[in-house]
Amino acid sequence: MATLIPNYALAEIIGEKIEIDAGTVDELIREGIARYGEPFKKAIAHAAIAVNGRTISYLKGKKTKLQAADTVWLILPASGG
Amino acid sequence: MALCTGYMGKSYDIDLSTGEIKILDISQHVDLYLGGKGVGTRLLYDNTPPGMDPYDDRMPLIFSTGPLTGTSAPQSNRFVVTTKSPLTGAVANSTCGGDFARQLKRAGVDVVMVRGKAKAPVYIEITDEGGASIKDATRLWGKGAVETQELLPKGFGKAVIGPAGENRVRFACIVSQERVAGRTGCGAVMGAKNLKAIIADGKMKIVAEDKDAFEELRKSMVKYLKSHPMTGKILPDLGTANIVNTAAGRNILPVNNFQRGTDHRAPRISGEALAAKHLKRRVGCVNCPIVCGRGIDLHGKRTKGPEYETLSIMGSNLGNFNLPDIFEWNYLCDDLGMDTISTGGVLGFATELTERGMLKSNLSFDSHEAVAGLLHDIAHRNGLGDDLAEGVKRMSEKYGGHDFAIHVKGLELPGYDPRGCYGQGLEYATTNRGGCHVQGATMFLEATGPISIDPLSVKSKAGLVILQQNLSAAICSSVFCMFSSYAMLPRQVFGLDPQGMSYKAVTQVLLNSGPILELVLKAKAPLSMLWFEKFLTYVMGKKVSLGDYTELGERVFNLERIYNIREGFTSRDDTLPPRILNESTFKGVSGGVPLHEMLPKYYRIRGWDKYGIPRDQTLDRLGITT
Repeated sequence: MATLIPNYALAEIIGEKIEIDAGTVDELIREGIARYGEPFKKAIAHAAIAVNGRTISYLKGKKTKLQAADTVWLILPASGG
Repeated sequence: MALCTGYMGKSYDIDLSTGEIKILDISQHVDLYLGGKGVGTRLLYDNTPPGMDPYDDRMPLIFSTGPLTGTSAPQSNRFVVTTKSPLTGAVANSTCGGDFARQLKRAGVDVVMVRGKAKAPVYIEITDEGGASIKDATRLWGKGAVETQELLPKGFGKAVIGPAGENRVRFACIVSQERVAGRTGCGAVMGAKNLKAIIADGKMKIVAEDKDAFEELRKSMVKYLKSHPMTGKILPDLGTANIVNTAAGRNILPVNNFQRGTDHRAPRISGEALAAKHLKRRVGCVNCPIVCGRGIDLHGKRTKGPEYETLSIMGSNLGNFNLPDIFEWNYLCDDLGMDTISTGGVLGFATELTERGMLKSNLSFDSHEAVAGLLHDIAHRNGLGDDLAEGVKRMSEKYGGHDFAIHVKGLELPGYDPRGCYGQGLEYATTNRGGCHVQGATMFLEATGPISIDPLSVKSKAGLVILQQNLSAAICSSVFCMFSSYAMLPRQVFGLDPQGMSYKAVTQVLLNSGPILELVLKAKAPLSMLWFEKFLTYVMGKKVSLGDYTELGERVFNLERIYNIREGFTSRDDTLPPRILNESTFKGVSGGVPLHEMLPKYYRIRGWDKYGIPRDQTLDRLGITT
């Protein structure tokens, strides 16, 4: 069971910490869309995804495997200041 | 010697001990050091003997502008304060927006060097018609920075200190409007001189040498900044607070004195939360189209909301995820005149000391009732506040806890845990003023920005950090806002899908760019490519190339290094806190930042020997005399 931390806008709708049973990031995304619909789809479309602090571009992309106690964040694709 | 356009041609050397006001000649420095930090550092080096105590009456406190200050170039109305840091013993400098810089130039002045110590509290007034004068500030002493500015004459640009500066809190800052010259304790040196404020007013103007080209560039630059994703969307919409969620997601958000790099409660203090629930207005510096400042209401008063650094270091770093608390503390720090980063750093350290039974206090990572009272105690040096006012390094010498004392060269680390951005770790270790993020901001290219050059790799990081540090030193000598550099990345980069192949390809190329970076650093590009050197060219009426500009930054950085070496710093000081070097925050990664893998290469590319000392040929090439 991985933990998903949504971005602020999505968290306002679905809560700030969600448990999702998924074997990969791709499965997590599918399950999230199935469970929460359009708001989740919209959040994913504009987010970078990080697993345990590593963006998935440095892992196996959406095929990155998830284990229990893994934390997945949806974050802004670019920040700065 | 007559100075070119961009300079007002007058600078002051004011001795508060004698009351003597002399004209200071900076003309011999501007060709090599331009202005701002560059000229400030040169004046500091030349006007102090080795080993002078920062609180020695003779210690200069230098307020300097650059050739663009006072023009309508966006993001250019800033001043730099330079002195020796009472917190670190190294070179101290800090840049600041607000209204003082422009008014100083309009008063016809480029640089003010203040020496000596007044017998009673004073402030310095500078106008175009009346010149400089020293005035009684007895009635202002003890007042907060907000009230002090209200009580001083209207219409003037002001740079003031609060009680923390008066009481020599080692991380006291200087405040102008709602902006601060925050880091390295320049406010404490100001207080030690019994100098409460420096104010300026005038009507003089700078007309660019090539005013048509200047105006055309200004218009296109404003348009570009407004249309750029970083400066036209992310910063105006969310302020620097936009970084909170990204930092938490990338495991670089300091939590509980850097014990962790993330916390699921981070979105509660994010830029999105601030914008949705508290933002009343956007606030910007003079002539800046970005307007990154957050206007909020606090107890019915309009005030400034916190920036990312405050949200992280006085928020998550203290285990606090309650925005109103941080608003309150942010306001208190600004009014008392204390750097929020060092304040949060020392509070985080004291909290961990307390939780380990090494210090008796009411601090806790789980409840925060004690913080507001302690902020007053720090500023007035009451009780435990007197110890906290000394900063993390000195606290650790008294109470222990060296392994988790989070500072570099005595300067508390800002809100980017370098265990999730190794290049930023190298930058912290080597930056001349200590643990600071705005003397290169390598984390933007590793962890927060639109492209991420593998943050957990050391590849190419030495060259990347040097490039960033040199550019930053040039920007701070011009003087521009560092945020202008965020628009250097083409907007197309912001459109890349972070999960896509193009993104991966770009970051891989950059990760392997080390040899090219080294060539770039050695080459002196004769072209004008960025707006920095173009603005300088049009204002000053003499060609400034990109190569000239980055070499200026390299020169200033090396002069700072030479100053630090003269003051007793060695390569042993180019390090990171033991917690950051040894303790992992990433699953599957052992240890912290592998600094030893980057530092020798960094020295070599810099043209320094293995002890981190600039070689003679490096100094000769840069024209630095010692």
